[in-house]
Amino acid sequence: MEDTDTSGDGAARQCAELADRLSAARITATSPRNVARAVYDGHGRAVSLELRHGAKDQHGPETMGEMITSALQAADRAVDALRQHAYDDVRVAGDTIGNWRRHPDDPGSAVAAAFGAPGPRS
Amino acid sequence: MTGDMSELLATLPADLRAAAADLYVKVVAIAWEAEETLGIAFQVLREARGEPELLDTGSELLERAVAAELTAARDEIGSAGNRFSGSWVGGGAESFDSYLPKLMAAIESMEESAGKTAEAVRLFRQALTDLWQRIVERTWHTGGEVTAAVAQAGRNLAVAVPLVLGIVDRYAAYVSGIAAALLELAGNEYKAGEKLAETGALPGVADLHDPRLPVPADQAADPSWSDADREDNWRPGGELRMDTAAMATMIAAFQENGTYWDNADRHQTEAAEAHLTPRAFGLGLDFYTDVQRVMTRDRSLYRDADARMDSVAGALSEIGGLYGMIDEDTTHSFNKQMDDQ
Repeated sequence: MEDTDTSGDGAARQCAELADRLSAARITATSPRNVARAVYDGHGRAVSLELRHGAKDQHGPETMGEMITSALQAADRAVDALRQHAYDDVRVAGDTIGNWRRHPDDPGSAVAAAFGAPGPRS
Repeated sequence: MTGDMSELLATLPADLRAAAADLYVKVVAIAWEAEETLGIAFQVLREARGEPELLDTGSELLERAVAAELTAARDEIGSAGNRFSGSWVGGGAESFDSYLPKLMAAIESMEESAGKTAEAVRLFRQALTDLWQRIVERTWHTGGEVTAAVAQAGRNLAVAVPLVLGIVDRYAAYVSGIAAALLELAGNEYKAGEKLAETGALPGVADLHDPRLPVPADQAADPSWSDADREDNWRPGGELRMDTAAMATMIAAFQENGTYWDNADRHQTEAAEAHLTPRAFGLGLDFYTDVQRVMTRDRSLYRDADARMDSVAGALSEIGGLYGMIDEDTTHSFNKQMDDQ
């Protein structure tokens, strides 16, 4: 990937390409016992939700709800992981957007890092 | 781009200007309502950067010009002192001989103070530059975040609006946090402050007792002298002699020393008033105040030293005048005069 230390243009192109890849990506997550299956795209938009044939006859509404929720939560986690990984490739000003999101520079630590801690007092 | 924002961006340092313009263009394309927040953040940053070039020239003046004048002052006295050493035997000679190395050490510590002040300013400048680099990178990153948010929203840009507003709010909070942290940099809790604090422990010429030199009979002796003082410092002993040429060189060294102190004072004043100004330190105003306090103290020490050099030169001249008239009779009467005091 191109490093865009001095311009945002490279990052914009990378983000556009990344968005296309995420749109095309399909993330599938299932509930325990494969009762429910959720399919998302890479942006976290739901594509489909499928229930195993005959499942609603085997499980009551409460269990069905839990299974669907479980599949959706698993899909959310998978999408987050995929997007985080994807943004690890987009570099802006010497660092990746993914890394910067994981470790945002807070003002206090930025000033402390620049000005340094004092040495041992004599 | 609005006229106000164009004017504001034009006043930013070039490295930030590029990142800020990139961020601004990306933000207002999606969320024009964030313009004011961004504008305030950029104004704060403009003040935060300070003027590193002024800090450079100010610290160089202290280190090269001021310290160099003090070194020259010390060298001249030291050189004359080396020639003078041992060429004067009699009342006050021992006191003067022991005074000279203390004077050398005191001047050296004043050179050290100027050097440490310069070093502290350089450390502050380096820290400010490092911080600035982080801020510029953060600004580029924020532009990248906006780009990513827009890409994420796809065709439905309305989805990106709250994301972009959130990104701008976080950026503005970061900037105001930086400003607050800079304003709160206090005392010696960081490298530059710690280095500056070291200057406070350095003795100056003002901390020295003046040499106890013989005083002609028509001048009053220091009333604080005890009998023991006279015994220790004023008994000329059995021998009385002086190399008057070496004494003349010594006197001239003290008389002419004022030029160096005047120059040190002038260079230091220039550094304080033209270079190490509040604007140069950006939002590090506490550090600016501390630097000015040290420099004001040092300037006062230079002026005091100048006066002391004149005073010592005057006293030595008086003694030299006495020795210039010495013959065996006057040697006897001079020694007796010293003993009687």
